[in-house]
This record gives sequence, C-alpha cells and structure tokens, in this order.
Amino acid sequence: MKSINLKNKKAQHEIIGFVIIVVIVAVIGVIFLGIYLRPQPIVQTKDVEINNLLISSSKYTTDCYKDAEPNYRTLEDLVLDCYQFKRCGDGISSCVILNQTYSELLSKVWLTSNFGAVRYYEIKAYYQGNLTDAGTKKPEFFKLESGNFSGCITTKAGQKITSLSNPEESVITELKVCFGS
Amino acid sequence: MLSFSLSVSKKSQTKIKEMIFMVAFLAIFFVIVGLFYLVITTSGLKQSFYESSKSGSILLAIKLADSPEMSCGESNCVDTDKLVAFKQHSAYKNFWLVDGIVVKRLYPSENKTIECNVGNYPNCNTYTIKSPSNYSSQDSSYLSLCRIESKNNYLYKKCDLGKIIVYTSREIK
Repeated sequence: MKSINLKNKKAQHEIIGFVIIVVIVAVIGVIFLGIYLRPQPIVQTKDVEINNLLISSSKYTTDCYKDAEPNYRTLEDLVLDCYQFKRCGDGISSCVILNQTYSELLSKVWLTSNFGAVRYYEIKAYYQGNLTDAGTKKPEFFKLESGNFSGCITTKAGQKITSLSNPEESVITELKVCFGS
Repeated sequence: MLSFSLSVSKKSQTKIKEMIFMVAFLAIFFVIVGLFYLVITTSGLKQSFYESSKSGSILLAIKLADSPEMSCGESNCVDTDKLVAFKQHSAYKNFWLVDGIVVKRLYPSENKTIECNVGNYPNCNTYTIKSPSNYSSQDSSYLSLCRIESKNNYLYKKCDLGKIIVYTSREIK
C-alpha cells in the first residue's frame, strides 16, 4: 500500500514537472510569436534623396516675378513670399503659384497610387521661432498632399530651413513621402 | 530477485528514454527559436546594408555633379551650358571613372526624350555625358539644372529640376 502511494506521488511529480516545462515552452513561444506578429510601426527616416529633391526643387525658377521681369522668384523665395502674403508682379498671390508649381513638379517626380511604390506625399511649410507674436502668425501656411496615407510601410522625409531676417525665426519646408513596398 | 532487477532496469531505461526525448525536444525547440531570431536579425542587417549602399551611391552622384566641370557654383546644381559644351569633346568620355553618366530634366518635362546638342539647346531634356555600357547598377540624385538666359536685355539664372544618373559595374544586392 505504501509503495503504491509512493509510486503515485512520483507519477504526480513527473506530471507536474512535465506540465511546468510545457508551460514554460508555450510562454516562450507566445512571446516570440507576439514579437514577430506585432504590427510594425511606420518608420519615418530622414532621407538623403528626399532632402536633395527638396534642395534642388527650391532653386527652381518660377514664372512669378518681383517688380519687373526677369526678376523671377525661386520656389524658396515663394515660400517666404507666401508666408508674408506677398503677391507676384502681375498681382497673383505667391501662395497660388507656390501651390501650382509644387503640385506639377511633384506629380512629375512621383505618381501616387494605391498599389504603386509611392502611396502618398505631403509637402508643407511652417513658421518656427520666437513666437512672441504667435497670435497673429499661423504656424503652417502651406500644405499640399497627394495619394492615400493608408497602406504606408515606410515614410521618408526631408527638411529645408530658410532663415528669416531675425536669426531666431525661420521657415521650414518639409517633404514626407510614403512608400508602400 | 532476477525479476526484480529486470523490472528496475526496465524502469530506468524508460526514465532515460523520457529524459532523452525531453532534452531532444527542448534542444530542437531552442534551435528553431534561434533560427527564427537569426532570420529576423539578418533581414534587418540586409535592409541597413542596402540603405547604407544607397546613401553611398547617392553621394557618388552628388560628388560628380559637384565637380568643377559640371557645377554651377552651388551644391546640388549643374550648369547645363557647361554640359552642352564639354559633351562635344570626346576627351571627357573617359574623364570620369564610371560606366555612364546621364543628366535628365524632370520638370518642366516633355513626353519624349530629346538629346541635347549645340543645335537644339536649351529645347531638350537629356544630356548623355557618357553612354552607359557594361554596367550593373545605376545610382541617381536630384539636382538643379541651371543656365544663364536673357530677357529685356537683362541676364538671369534659370533653373529647372533634374536628375543625374551614374552607371557603375559595382554590384549592390
């Protein structure tokens, strides 16, 4: 009778040991699966290519002129003009020309589609600096976007800083491109 | 006595077998987990290697664009007047140690490719500095294509958006 009890106890110990090992293995497996199946956050990286595009496009000579032709404004000048609500020599708003030019230019560089490599892009310009008179200044004054942000896997971004007359103030142009594959 | 010793030996054998099974199972499990981890890690390494190679390639394209023979005096800017002039000289074909260099205008753009020469410049969009041959990879970078134009008797700088494509036989996988 005593030997049967001992045998039962041993068997119980073995079962408990086995169960503990199975539980440990299962927990490790679940942790690894959890890490593997975790939805990847959209990684936004500063990219040399996007920065180059932003720098190169900012030098583009537009049809907007100041005072008289051929004193043409570049896209970089137009960003500042748009921030200061300035108009071109022919009376058209600098923001309109800025929007139109960037829209045409970027559509020649990337064609956004729901199944293509480039899903979405966004260009915006905003004021950054000593905001003592923030009440009268709107931080983001220009924004242009194309495509659909859903389906983004990686996002690459570039930034161009243009200083204003006050060294503490600047206008930042930011380009963000979202790739689906 | 003999039967007792046989039964004890059988029990021990079974226990050893159980132990071996368990150890083998755990070893296989950890090997699989290790392989799984290695695959994830190496895929990240491949990606970062690709990104770093791409950055290097872009830098090569920028370096060529910023050379005195092409540059307009600013970074990321090519003087197209210079391009048209020296593209006529065959001596420049082997000046750069790459397998091909092409500069293209992206904006404003035309639907067809028009190779630039002294006759049609600036109403063209492609400057083939060195025809691509025997290359295995191509690297590119955006740049400004600037030239001097005149209007109302005044000279001004007119810049377009372009791209420099550098062809090399260096392989990037």
